[in-house]
Amino acid sequence: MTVEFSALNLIVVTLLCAATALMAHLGVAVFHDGIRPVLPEFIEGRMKRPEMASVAFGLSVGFIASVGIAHTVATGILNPWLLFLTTDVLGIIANRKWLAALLGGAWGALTVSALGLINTALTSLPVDFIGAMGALSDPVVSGFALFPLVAIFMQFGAKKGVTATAITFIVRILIVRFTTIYVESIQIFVGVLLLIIFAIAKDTQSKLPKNEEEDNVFTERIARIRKNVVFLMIGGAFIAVACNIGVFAGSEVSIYTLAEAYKTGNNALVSQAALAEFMRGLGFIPLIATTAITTGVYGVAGLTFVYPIGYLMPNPIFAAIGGALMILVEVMLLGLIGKFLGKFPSIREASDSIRSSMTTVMEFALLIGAINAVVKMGGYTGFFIGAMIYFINEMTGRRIMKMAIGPVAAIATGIILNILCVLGLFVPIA
Amino acid sequence: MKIAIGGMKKNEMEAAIKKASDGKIETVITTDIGAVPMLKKGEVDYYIGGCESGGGAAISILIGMIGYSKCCTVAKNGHVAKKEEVEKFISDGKIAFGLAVDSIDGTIPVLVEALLEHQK
Repeated sequence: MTVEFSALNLIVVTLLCAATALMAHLGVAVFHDGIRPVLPEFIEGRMKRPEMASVAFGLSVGFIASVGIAHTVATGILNPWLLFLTTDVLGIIANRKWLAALLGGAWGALTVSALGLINTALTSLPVDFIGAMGALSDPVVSGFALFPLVAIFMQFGAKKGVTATAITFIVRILIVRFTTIYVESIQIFVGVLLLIIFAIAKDTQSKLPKNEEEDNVFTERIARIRKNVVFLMIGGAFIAVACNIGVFAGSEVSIYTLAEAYKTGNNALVSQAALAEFMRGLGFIPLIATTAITTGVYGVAGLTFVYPIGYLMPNPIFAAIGGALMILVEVMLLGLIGKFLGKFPSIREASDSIRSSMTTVMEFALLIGAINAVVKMGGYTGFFIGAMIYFINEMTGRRIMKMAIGPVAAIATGIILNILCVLGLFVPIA
Repeated sequence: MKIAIGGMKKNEMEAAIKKASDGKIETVITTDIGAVPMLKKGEVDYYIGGCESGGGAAISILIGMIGYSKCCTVAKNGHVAKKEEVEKFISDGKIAFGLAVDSIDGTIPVLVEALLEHQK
């Protein structure tokens, strides 16, 4: 709840969304990894616009409605699911370039304005909503730091998993006892290092036959992405600026930590968020790079390294330059990344494990955080409401994603408690 | 019947397939790219992959490499697969199935049942 409504935020987000909608319209880049491979069907004429639009809408609507809205209401910071999944759909629906840009820009302006209104509404409530949302983000940093260990269990089994856990735990104990370094960063570093060592060891043992024929097929697609590089760099610059001015965050692994950092002015937390986002970016390289290479359509945020660059740069101008250059470097390296991934199949597999384990630990952390938040707001009456919202979702086919149910339950509990309070049926506990 | 598993939460996916098929379906854990040559050489009959949306990471590489006409999303995020839809996908010749990882428990039994019936 830290972002105030300002003209700068409005202009940056409006231009950003106009640009991303236009990129989706032209088939230059889309955010959703699932829309990317379907786009060539449309570009090459095998699929009509309304059909393409319905695919895009179907794949995205659940995300926009659950994680898109929940992460932003809980933190006061915009996120890519809310902005870019919508501009993917709008850009594809629009049948003219100017219309795509107009619709995208309008969506950007709408979200920034809504953010201002929500912020004002939430600060005036009798049951403290904003403090409780802080409790929601407390377990995130420590929870996220466990992802490499969960990934090792997933990919290499219990024996290596226990070994890695023991090593990381010893490192943690020593660092906490004898230094004042941010221990979670070191934990992530040690865990990821072990994961990579295990993966490369497995590949050098197994000696799989190499698949060389793929290289040539993809040269043409890579050339298409390179042709659009200036456009992509402009998009990257806008994203980095939006991250830099604090109105936007790249994912669930950074957004809660950033909200806390902006509220308390703690710069160490910004670095922590940037590190988490960087690690998530590494996990996503194989997915985004390979879908881009096989389709000729790039990601709106590229390999997502523009996010941490945006958080860390000292001012918006440096952020813009850094974001644009990052995209340029990524696009130039795409071919090399593809070749490297072909040589080490376990690294690709590690990417699947990393993405799975990040989801697992974040779902866990946000659920614990949500329970802390509802208890903070309403004691065990809050717990009753929040826990039942969770169980109702579980028992009725999980319409709300696991990743979103914690924040959704916390927000809904806050609203219900405030209504009860206005009706005189509940007295705020703190 | 042999199924290649890629995408997210592979262990969970494999356990669900084994349980639903009572061990009648063989599985091999791989990646989306790793599954492509297996499908092309006929080493496996089908591919099942999970991701957050059911249409993204789960099958996007497959769409690019074996063609859109052979791939489908059986359960989108927030939904569980419907038997009739799944049967239609299989009879239409789809061989790569994507589903949202949140719907593994609900969707795999439906998909496995339809695949086993189709085999008869």
